[in-house]
Amino acid sequence: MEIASLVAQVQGFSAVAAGLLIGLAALGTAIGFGVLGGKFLEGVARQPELTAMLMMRMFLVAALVDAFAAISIAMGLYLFFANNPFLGAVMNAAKPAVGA
Amino acid sequence: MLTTQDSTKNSAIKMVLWQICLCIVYAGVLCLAAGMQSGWSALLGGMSYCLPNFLFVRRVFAQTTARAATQFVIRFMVGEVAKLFSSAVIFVLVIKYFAVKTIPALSGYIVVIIGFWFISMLFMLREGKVSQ
Repeated sequence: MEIASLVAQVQGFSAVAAGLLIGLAALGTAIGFGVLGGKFLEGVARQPELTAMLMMRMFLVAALVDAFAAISIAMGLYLFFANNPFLGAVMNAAKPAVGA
Repeated sequence: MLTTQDSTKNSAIKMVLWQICLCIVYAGVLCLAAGMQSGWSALLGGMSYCLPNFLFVRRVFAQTTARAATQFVIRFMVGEVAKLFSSAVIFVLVIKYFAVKTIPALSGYIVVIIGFWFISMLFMLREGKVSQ
């Protein structure tokens, strides 16, 4: 019974962690891309002849903005759908108690 | 003769190709240092980001004229969301359904993303030198 509640606790906290990972990544990226896109359109409106250069710069800066978002979304989905490493640790610790 | 628009698209594609090269080199190094399975895992982990990135660049830089700037921003945002989500989904599918080691696959994924920072900085520096 105690082990079941431990497993449930770990699963619950893992779900909260995964939700925070994905949510905060989305929030940060959304703010970053909002600012980036707005500034790009401002720049193009002022100097249309620089459009191609600004597009390239936007692509370069976007790579910096989305890096951590990509990592944290992958980690969040990993916790949700693949093996939960924290759960594995609990199960390994519980093996002697269960006698498996 | 190449137009400015063509050269923009070519530079973006070149950056992604450099990223793929980085992934292959990292997987090779890991293969030599830690064994075949680790190298294979790093390659699959890295490619799960490189392939969506390549498709994103191909699609977003299809039209790069000043008149299409708003369309470019919309395509960019939609493409970015699709890229982030699809790369994460491919990564999880690779981990779940292929016989890969988790840590090398994750390290391949992260190295490819962080490596892109350095590649983009190199391109920025080179662009600055050319314009001077």
